[in-house]
Amino acid sequence: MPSNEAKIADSALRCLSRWGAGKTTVDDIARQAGLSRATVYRCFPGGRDAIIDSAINLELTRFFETLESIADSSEELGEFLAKAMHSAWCFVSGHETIQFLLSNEPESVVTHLAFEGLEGLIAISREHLSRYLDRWLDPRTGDELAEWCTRIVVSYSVCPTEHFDVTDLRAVERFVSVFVLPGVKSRSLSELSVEVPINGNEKS
Amino acid sequence: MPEDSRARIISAAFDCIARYGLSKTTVDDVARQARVSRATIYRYFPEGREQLIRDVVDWEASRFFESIGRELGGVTGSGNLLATIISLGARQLEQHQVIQTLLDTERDLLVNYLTVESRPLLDIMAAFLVPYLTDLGLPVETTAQEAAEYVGRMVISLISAPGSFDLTNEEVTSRLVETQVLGWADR
Repeated sequence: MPSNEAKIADSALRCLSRWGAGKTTVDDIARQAGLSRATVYRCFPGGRDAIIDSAINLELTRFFETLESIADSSEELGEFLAKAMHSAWCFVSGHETIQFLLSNEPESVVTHLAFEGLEGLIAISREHLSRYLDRWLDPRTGDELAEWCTRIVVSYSVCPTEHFDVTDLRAVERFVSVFVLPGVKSRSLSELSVEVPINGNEKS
Repeated sequence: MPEDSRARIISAAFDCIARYGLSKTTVDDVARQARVSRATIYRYFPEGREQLIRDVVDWEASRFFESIGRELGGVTGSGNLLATIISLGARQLEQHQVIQTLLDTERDLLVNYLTVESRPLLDIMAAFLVPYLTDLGLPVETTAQEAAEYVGRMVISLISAPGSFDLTNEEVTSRLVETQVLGWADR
């Protein structure tokens, strides 16, 4: 049984995808959630902006949870990274609310993707990803890698590239093997006093 | 002649932005500064103010990279060179009065150029970096253009959200370049 917070956050997402951030009101959100204004304000005294922040966090948390089964089914770090980034890009490109806002009200989204907004996103991402990455990496390297992957996913999401199709898993595998993995290997080898296997068997 | 007029308008627009900031700069201000009529401005920039501003950003970005290129001289590619480029760029950015003022007072207006409208800046950066990267020995699975775009994207991301990285420090950028930015280049 979803909590009121979750109901409200979900209904906010639906309202945003229909009307955008500018026109969505607390009343809209309450009605969509089937709750009273009073209940909504009790859960979110900060009002509309607090609701929207919470909705964003909820979506992010949900997305990162989907990475668990991907991590479970990946033997090697490279495999996990490719599938996870591919999944992130598909998530963004298929997300009704995000796409609506990017097209119609980019100013509402870009604040979360630059400056402090991006710093915040990186911090959240680190927290969620570290529990998957520690299957393969020490905490410090995992932390740094989480940051880079977040930067990469955000960059290629908001400004598409002509060089490869981010929704094509094969293409993402190539991208990861060329641009992401080698950096991990050189980092962990140069900084750790003991060599740590990056994946199952290989040390390089 | 026409090219001179266009350049004069862009230079005048830059001066206005330096003085008044982005949001307060009007087409009339630019016309006055460039000593041309409004009509002339619209002739060169039919889409108006938005187009003029985009072109000024392009122009200044190109100038910025040209000056980095000059300071680097004719040095050829190496991992350390890329680190030098990044830290040099970061230092020049710190000293760029107009950009710093905009970051302080009109950050919202710059945000677009770092995100959804970053294509022009990316193209300028990638074009600048391609010659330096070609010397490095790229893996066959990529091209100099793709690699340059990747580096450009990471630099823009770091400018936007530097976290704990002090990009003006060449030790920091060296480590970044070796691990994440350039870990992929054959060495």
